[in-house]
Amino acid sequence: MALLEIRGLTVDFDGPRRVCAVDHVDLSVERESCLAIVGESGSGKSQLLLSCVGLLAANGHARGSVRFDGVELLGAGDPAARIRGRGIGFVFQDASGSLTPHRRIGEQLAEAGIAAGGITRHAAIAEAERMLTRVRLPQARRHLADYPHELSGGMRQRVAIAAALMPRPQILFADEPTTALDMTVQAEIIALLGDLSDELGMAMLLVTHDLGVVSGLADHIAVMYAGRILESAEASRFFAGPRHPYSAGLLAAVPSLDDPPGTELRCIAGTPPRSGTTLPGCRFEPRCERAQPRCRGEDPPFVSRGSAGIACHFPLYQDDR
Amino acid sequence: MSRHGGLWRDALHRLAANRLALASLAILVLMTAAASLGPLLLDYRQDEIDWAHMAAAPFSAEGHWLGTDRLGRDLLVRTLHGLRVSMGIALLATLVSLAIGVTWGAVAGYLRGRTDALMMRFVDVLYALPQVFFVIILTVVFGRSPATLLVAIGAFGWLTMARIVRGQALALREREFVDAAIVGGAGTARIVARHIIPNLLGPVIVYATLTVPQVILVESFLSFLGIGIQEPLASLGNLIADGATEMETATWMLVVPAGCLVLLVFCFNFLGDGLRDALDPRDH
Repeated sequence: MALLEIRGLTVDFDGPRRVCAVDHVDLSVERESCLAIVGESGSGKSQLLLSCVGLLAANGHARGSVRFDGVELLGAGDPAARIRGRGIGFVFQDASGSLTPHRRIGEQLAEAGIAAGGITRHAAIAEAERMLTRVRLPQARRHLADYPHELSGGMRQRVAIAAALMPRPQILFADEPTTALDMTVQAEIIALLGDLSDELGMAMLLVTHDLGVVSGLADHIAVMYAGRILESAEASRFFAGPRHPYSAGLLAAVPSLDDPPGTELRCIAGTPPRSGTTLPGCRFEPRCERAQPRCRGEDPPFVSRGSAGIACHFPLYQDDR
Repeated sequence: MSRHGGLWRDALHRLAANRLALASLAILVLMTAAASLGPLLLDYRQDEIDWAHMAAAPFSAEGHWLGTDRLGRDLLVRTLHGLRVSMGIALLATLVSLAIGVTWGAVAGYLRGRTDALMMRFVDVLYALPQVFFVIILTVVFGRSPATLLVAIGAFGWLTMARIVRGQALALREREFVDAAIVGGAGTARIVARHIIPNLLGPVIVYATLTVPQVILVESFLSFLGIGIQEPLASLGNLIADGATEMETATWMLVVPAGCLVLLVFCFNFLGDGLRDALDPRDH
């Protein structure tokens, strides 16, 4: 059984118009593996992550099933809170925001350990220092007494990762953990996340809009568009040959160092559908180069075979490789 | 933004650069020391009558530096006693309003929804009661004493604090570090105590320093009206009330306690202003 099993997850938001951010998503994350969800902004990837840990806004509703280690997380009361602390760590996009500004880093980390339970204050502080060393923060002991505003953005993100790791989670959720950082620091943080998941035997669910970020890290890729998973595949097969036209477009849009100077950046024409609009057919059809009349009238179901799956009437390859 | 020290050390540095606030702090420390130690060092008790010097002007009679009132009681000793009572009530009432107001507001703001509505409507109801009327009822039922006055002032003092704190808590609970704590498995009590309250201490401390002079004024006002501290106990309010009846013949009886009150309120206000500037993160 997979560590995290998401089945038919749907997230709606009430409002003047009812908005469906996530639409019948199936995903699973195996132990000690890394799944990356890739998509444009507004594709629902962040809401997918937030709904798993019960952090949806007050007008949001999640339906379907999210089972973590066999325990249902959706609609669960207290057991879910305990699972969240011990089993799931969460790294947010903006580390400065996820650290309490008026408390010292050492106290915050210790607090995260104590909140999850089963550890004394003294042990928690020692553990905080070890964790800061583990996230490669130089002079960890000295930084225990610092406030978040005294650190640089990259250091803050390291501290935020350390805080998420304090309860020794089995899986780490990371919601665009590098978008707030500059390029060189991004690479460091991504490498760090990869190392940590190996060292701690921890699974990862990574959300990003940057395929470059996940290429070296993810074991499995899921491409999300307008609330649906369009394609999911093992990373090696995905990068070798994406089957969905949207995936192919995303990959083609990644600039390469081998391109001759002056090469125009490729992009996918058009914009994603506005949230709240529903199309009778495939939601990527208006932007798809391979669209046929059938695509306009009939929404392709998500067909999975083994660990791969696709929602397209006319994939680039049939799955018989 | 300073690279050295924490938020509070930075704030102290900025406060130290504010001469007015620093001078106010020094004067407040002096006044507190004088009010608590002075009466022990002086030769007269607050209700001791000197039959030889009644209504003596300042420096005119041996040992009575600020003169005596019309019963021959030493005015300096009585003013220091009054200061002690007024400041004591003000500090206690502020502590009470801090404890109740901060907890009440933080819980209401963090929980939102129906709990918040119920808690804040209760605050609205208390707001609607006229305070003086409430104090009169209390003094009729429980008699006139500093304790009754304290309860009466404390019962109203926390209302504004609760409203300020609730507003701050509403904004803070949407911040990502609260989400991070929730995912970390922290319960409501822990989040309020460790993530909400520490982050709103800046505005709270500033408002508290502005509450102290307010309470001193309310106490003086009630004592002036005769429903606060009663003779022979001295408070700044009833000393001023006494002095006001004699102001044409013995100005010092009004000037000494009134000057003391003015100085006290000014100092607290300047200190509060200084703290507000020092703790405002936008000035970093």
